[in-house]
Amino acid sequence: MLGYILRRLLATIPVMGTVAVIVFMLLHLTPGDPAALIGGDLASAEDLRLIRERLGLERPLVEQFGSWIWQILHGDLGTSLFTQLPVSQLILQRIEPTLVIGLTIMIIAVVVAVPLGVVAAWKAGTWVDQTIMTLAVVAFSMPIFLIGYLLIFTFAVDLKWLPVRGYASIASGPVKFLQHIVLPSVTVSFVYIALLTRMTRATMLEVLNQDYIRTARAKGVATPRLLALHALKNAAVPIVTTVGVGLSSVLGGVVVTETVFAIPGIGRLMIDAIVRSDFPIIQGVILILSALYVLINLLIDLSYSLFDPRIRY
Amino acid sequence: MTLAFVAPSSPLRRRLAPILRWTRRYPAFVVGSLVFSAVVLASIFAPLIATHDPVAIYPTERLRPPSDTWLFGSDPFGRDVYSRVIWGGRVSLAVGVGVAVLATVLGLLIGLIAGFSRAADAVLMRIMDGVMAIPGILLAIALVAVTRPSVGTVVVAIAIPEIPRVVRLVRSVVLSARELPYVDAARSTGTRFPMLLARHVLPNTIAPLVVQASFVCASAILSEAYLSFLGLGIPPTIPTWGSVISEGRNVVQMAFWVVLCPSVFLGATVLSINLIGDGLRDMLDPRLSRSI
Repeated sequence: MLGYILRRLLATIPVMGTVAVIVFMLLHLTPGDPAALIGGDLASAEDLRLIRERLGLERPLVEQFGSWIWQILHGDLGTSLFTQLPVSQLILQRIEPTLVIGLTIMIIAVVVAVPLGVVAAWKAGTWVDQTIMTLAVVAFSMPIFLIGYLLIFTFAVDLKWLPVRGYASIASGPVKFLQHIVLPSVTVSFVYIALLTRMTRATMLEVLNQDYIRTARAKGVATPRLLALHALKNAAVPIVTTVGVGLSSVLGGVVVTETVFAIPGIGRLMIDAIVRSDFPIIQGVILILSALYVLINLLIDLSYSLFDPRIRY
Repeated sequence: MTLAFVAPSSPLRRRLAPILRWTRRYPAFVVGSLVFSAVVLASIFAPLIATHDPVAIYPTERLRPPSDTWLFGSDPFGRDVYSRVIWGGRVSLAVGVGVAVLATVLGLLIGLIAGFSRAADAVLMRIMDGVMAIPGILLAIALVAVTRPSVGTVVVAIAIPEIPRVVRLVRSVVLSARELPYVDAARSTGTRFPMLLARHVLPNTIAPLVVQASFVCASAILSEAYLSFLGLGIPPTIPTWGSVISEGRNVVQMAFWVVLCPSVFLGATVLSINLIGDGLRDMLDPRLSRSI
């Protein structure tokens, strides 16, 4: 087991390395001068010289990358060009809403999608299945702002049950906190629910065709027990994998939601940084969110043995 | 003459019969195609069916509710939302199709190389894993941020995060096609590599690629709308669905139509393409359709 964890940890190094190279190269991808890109159209030659000096842009590219990655490995994501504050500090200040909403989305999606997918597979070919699958493709196609604004209209403007926008941290009390995260989380969860429902249905269909399911049915196992224990448990690994892979669209979706609901998360931090060409922040946010994605998928990989005792490391 | 005993039916009905049969068999695909065709036609004929100049500002006509003159109302600058939505469809479709073509072609090339060359495979797939680890929309946002705003850069920025999935698909098809008996047979009878590729391997990739391309197209249209919504990418002078929605963002409580109308168009277009994709998969790969 320990050996497997180590091997999996080592396997994330090339992935994160590639991410780091891509994120680093962002600034150097364009044919023009990165300093001009940061300075904007109004920067004077003196401004450009200062920017180059501060970021060490006149050094060879490999050397720049080396010192950049060295800093990152020491937990230093650089300094914001605009506020002069450390990027890691800025991200820490704003990461709570993003993490909380991301996690809530995952919980909502699993709780809703897995039962839906199981029912769709169990009733495969009937109107129940067709309705669930139609709803799934519709949910998959709806833009985040359409769902978001419809929810705002119904629950915030019309019924006045929930706040229209903003965020209240966990520290400000559970009621206020929950009120603020419900709408943004539900908004993004639609896509994820659609994805997970389709995956759950597909794997359940495969499992339900197995001989041991017929045996279980023949010996008189009640349907709920059959579905939950005999079938779902065996379908768990691919479903859990989808939870991890779909996370990428959740993290991306949170960025859009934070704008729809005016939530001060790191997605908003990144968008604001783009307007000011504050590249260290942009790079920092992408690195952190990608690392989060890789980390959660690693944990999911390691969790397989919980769902399937045949998997031993 | 046995033909005389066929149930009498009008020529029109006889011609419609296969279409009806098709509609009954693939209802979602037919609905999707109809909606998509409508959006395409509306975009092509935008200059004819738009009631106003999409960029003309009528300062005295701000935030008018939908009426005979302002079909979908007017936005905070006094521009006609209907005309902007109709014109905005051009950008969305162009980006969707552009990304689908670019991502498919590049993904096919990289996937073929990875599928045939062991040495390149390891390197290429590690790079693809890295690209996939970055949330797609974030990578697109960052790529757009470092380039000059234009439709072309938006297409490239959205296409890059889509490439890895195409690569994985093509690679898996190539890897399994290489083991097929008829490919083996062709190789052992001395078929040269280009011929082997073109005649025996590539045809296997076409069906899954067409299906994948339609899903890429749908997701690209959404991504473009998100970028425009965030005020990135397409220059603000060109109306797009995302930018119309973005302009209505702060007035959503008093003028919901500015946000609602383009959102509905966007949702309907993406849904129609996804339905077409699902339908294509059902038709091209009946085995897969029953499972997923």
